[in-house]
Amino acid sequence: MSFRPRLVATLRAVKEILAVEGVMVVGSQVPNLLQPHAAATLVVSRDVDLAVPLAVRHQVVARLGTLSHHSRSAQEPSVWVSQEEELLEVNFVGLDPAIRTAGETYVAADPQLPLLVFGPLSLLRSGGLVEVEDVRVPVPHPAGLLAEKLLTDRSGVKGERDKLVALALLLIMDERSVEEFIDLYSSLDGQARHEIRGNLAELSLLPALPGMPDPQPHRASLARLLLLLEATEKPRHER
Amino acid sequence: MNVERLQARARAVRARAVVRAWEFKQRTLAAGVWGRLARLFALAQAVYEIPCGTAQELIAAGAVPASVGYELDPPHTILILDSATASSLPGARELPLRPAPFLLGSPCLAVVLFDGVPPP
Repeated sequence: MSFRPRLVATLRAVKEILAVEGVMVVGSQVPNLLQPHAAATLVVSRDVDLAVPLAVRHQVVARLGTLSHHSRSAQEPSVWVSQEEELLEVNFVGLDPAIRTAGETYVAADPQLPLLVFGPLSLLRSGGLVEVEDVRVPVPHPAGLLAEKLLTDRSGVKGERDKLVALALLLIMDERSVEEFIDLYSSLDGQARHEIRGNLAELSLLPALPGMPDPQPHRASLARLLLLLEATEKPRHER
Repeated sequence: MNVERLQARARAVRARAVVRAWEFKQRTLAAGVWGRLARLFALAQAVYEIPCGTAQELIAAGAVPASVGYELDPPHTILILDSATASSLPGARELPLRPAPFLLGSPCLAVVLFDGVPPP
């Protein structure tokens, strides 16, 4: 079975959760969904991440019973798995606008739905709805997701995948979205800006991975973006 | 319910954040050298391995090496050259652009920056 039908079937299975105001699909499936007609040609991971703002967690908990094809993982209480081969795992993550950095990450305990609340997720803003067949899927604005992915604190293959997801986003972002990303970048603290520039540089040097965009043909564009970010570091009169 | 696994992940994220905060404070020192090299190579359209004798001749003729190369131990000579010069150097061999550690097997390198990139 190809990947897109599995993604669509999973989104359909969680559509009652997606209908809660503020809940968004985040992570590596977003570039798949933002491709023309949600083509989902990138197979970065075999799960779907759902960001749950803590303010609406009780609404999500109230709808967990609608997940008739998934059940809570015995190992990971925020992960819901399915015995049905065509359905992907669903990972719930918490979004708390009061925190912004990875160092503030915490667990929001709850007997029904405990959540890992990752600080940089608060960079995400609603990007509207993507219609995927009969499912309306809320996604974040690509600028915030790009910043969040370029703030990855992971190393090894997982870190490389985060960076390649950032590339996948860049490839579908229009000029205005890139400008919004640069504005968002400028609003971050010095360490976050340094990490984004560093991960962007590392992205430019990554080899291709199966099912992921290859950075090599896009290195000139990545270099231009890096220079644009660096330019914002200079006093305005020197730019 | 196994919340301890989530707690462990949160602790791991916070621990990495502490390390990254330290790395940021050290960014202008030795700990930042990989970042400076990654930046240089990210802005390069091509990198060549060149004979070190050739590199010294070019320096004697006025070529200015990138200072980041001398921050390494052992030091590396990294020259910023234009494309025509670098590709025509006798013995020059173009290297695939890869993360910095993979490019440093050669002690002398020539880097060709993308158009419009100011030299470091």
